[in-house]
Amino acid sequence: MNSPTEQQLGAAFRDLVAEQPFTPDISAIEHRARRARRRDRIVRGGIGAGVVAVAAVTAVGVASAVPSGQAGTAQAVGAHPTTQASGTHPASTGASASSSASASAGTQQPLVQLAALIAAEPRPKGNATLVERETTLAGQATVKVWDLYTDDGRYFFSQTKSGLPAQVQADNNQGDGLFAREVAAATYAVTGNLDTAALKMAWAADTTPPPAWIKAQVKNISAGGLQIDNYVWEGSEDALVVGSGNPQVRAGVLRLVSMLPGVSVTHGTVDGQPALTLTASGAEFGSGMSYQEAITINANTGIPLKMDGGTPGTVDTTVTWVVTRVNLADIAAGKF
Amino acid sequence: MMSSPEQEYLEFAGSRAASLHRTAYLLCGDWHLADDLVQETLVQTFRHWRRVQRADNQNAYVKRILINEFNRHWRRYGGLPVSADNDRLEVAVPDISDEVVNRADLLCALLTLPARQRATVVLRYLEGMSERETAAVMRCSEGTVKSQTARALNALEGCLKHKELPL
Repeated sequence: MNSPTEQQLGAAFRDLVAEQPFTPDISAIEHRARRARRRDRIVRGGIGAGVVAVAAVTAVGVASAVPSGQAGTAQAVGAHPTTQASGTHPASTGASASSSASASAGTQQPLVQLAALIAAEPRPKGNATLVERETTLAGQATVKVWDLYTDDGRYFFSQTKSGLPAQVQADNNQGDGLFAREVAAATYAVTGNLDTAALKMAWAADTTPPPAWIKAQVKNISAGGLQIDNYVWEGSEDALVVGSGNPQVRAGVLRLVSMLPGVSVTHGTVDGQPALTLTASGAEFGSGMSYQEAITINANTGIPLKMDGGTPGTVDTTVTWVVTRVNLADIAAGKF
Repeated sequence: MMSSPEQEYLEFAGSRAASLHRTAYLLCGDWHLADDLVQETLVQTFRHWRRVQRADNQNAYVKRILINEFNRHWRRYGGLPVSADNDRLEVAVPDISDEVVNRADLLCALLTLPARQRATVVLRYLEGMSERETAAVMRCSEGTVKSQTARALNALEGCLKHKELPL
C-alpha cells in the first residue's frame, strides 16, 4: 500500500502530464528505422551469403581506384589526369565553383575546394561503375562481392565476379530508385543551393514529400546532432559509392558533407595515395552515439578508398572498394 | 500491402505512444524533447520489433528503450535538457489545485533529481509500476529501487503540501 505521500505524488504526476496530445510520426519512424536496419546489415551482412546482397545495397564505404586495363573501359583514377598531375587544390578553382552555390558558414574548406576541382573534370568514359567491395568484420573472414551501378540508375549485384554477367544479361536490377535519388541530390549539390540539396539527400529514401519537421531542421543544420545530419551523411555515403565513377556526384557529396558540423577532416595517405579521412562522430548517428564512421577518400580525386566503422578507438568493420568505369555491354559479355 | 508484423507494430505504437510521451516529459521536462525521445524510442522499437514481440513484458521493454534514449540525451548534453528555473518550465495545465501541489515547483524539483532517481519515481508513481517491474526496467535490484525511491521522495516531499486525508 502506498503512503499518502506516494499517492499524492502519483496524482501530481498525472496532473502534470494531463491533456497533452501526441501522435507519433510513423512515416519518420519507418524512414529512420529502415535506414538503421540497413546499417545493421552493412555491419553484420558481409558474412553470410544470404544477406550480402542486401548489404550491397547500402554499401558504405570505401573504394580504391585500381586500373583494370580492360578494353572499352575507363578506369576511375585515369579519368582525372589533371588532378593526378597537380596533386594540389588551387584555391582559385574552389572559389569559382563555390560562388555558384550557397555554402553554410561552417563548411569544411578542404572538401569545398576538392569538390570544385573534381566538378571541373570531364565525365569519364563508360556507362556504368563497377565496384569491387571487400568487407572485413573484426574477428571474421573477409568477403568480396561485386556491385555494378549503371548511369541510368540500375544496380546489379553478384557474390562472384564470374556471376555478374548473368545478372546483367537477365536484367536483374536490384535498384529501387533510392540510388538514383541520392545521386540526383548529390549532383544538384554541385551548383545548387546546399540547404535544398541537403533536404533532397536527407529524404531520398522516401518517395513522399519531405515533412515539415525535416524542412525545419535544414535551417538549423549547423547546430549539429539533428536527424537531418544523420540522413544527409548516410545518403551521401551511398551516393559517394554509387556515383564513385562520376566526378559530379563525388563533388556534390563532398559539398554536402562539408556542411555537416559533426564531420571532421584529416589528411593522410593510404597505400601511397594522398588521402582525406572524413570522420562522422556519434552526433551524426542519432541514438547510436558511440558509433562512428570514417570514410577515406583520395585527396585528389575524391574517390572513396575505405570506410572504418566502430566505436572510437575500435574498428569493427572495414570496407574497401576498387572502382572501375565500364561499359555495360562489356560486363554482359564477360569482358572485364 | 502492409505485412502483419508492421501492422502489429503500428497498433503497438499507437497504443503506447501517449504513455511513453507522458513518461518522457517527466524525465526531461520539455514537451518538444519528449516528442523526440518518443519518436526515437519508437524507431528503436520498430528496428528491433521481433525482439520486442518476444519479450515477456513488452511494456517494460519499450520503457527501457525510452530510459536508454533519455540517458543518451543526458550524457550527450551533460545535464538537464531544459533549465531547472521554474519560470521557464512548461506546465501542461493551469494550477487549479495550488492548495495541494504547485506543479511548477514539483516539476522543477523532479528535474533536479539525479537521472536515475527521477526515472525511478516516474516509473513507480506515474506508470504505477511495482518495485520489481521498475527494477526490471532500470536493470537494477529491487533494493536499489527502494533506496532510489526513498531518496527521491525525501527530495520531493517539500513540494507536496499534505492535506488531511479522510479516515
